Amino acid sequence: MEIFKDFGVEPVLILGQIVNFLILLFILKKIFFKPILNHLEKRRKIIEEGLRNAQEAQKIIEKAKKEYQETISKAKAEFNQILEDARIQANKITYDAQLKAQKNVEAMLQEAREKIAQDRINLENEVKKDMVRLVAIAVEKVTKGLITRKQSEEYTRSSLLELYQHEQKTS
Amino acid sequence: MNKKLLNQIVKKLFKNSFLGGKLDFLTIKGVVSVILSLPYPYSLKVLQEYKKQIAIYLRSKTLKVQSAIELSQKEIAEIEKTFKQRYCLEYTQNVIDESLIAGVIITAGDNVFDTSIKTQIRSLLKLA
Repeated sequence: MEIFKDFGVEPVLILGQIVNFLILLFILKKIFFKPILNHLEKRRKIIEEGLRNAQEAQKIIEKAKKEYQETISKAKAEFNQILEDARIQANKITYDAQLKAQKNVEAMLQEAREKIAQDRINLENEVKKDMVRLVAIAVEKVTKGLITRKQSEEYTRSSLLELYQHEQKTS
Repeated sequence: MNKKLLNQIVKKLFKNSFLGGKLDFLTIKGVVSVILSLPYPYSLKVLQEYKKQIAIYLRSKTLKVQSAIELSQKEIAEIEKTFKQRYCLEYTQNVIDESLIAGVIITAGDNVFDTSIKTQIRSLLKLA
């Protein structure tokens, strides 16, 4: 206790200071520190939430970017496929048209060949008919010159007789 | 004038051209004068059709005898006796056609009896 007196330390004062300090601490804690701490806590939470939201937004953006890229590549692939299909179709149409034209030409040639053959047959028949007609005329002229009037009369009468007999048989 | 009406008119006129079941020249003359009294061109159409009808009738009722030589009256009468009654013919037409060479062609309505040498030559050549 004399040590404390030598240094000028009053235990009652110290005790009183300690009590004052504690009371101040208690008061400050209740009135000042708590609201500030609450406020800081609130701000911290807000900041944390903001950061979380930012992270989520970043994730969404990346996901959207990925989907966009995928859609673009899909569309490109489809476009290429359509182009390829169209090319194949066009080639097929061209080939079919060529084939059809070729068939038409062949059919026309065949028709022409058949017509020529038929025309030749018709011409041959016409020539034959003319030949027969001319030969008939020639034979008639010759026969007329060879048959006498008497022979003609005899033949006419005998043919009439045959006709009468035939009519009598059939009536 | 439509064809149906024309045919009806011609049919009636043709029916009226007969006298005693036979075609009468004077009656035909009367019918022709009636036709000519019609306005042109109807008269022409009717006359053409009437003429056709008369021709068809005459052809069906005519015995046509074509021969290379001239036949005697007796021979013609014999032919008429054989064919006219059988085929209900009324008229006879006698034609001399030397191109037949020999033989006859007798046309009795739609029936033809051909014994001419000309036809036989042509038949033989066709067969050949």
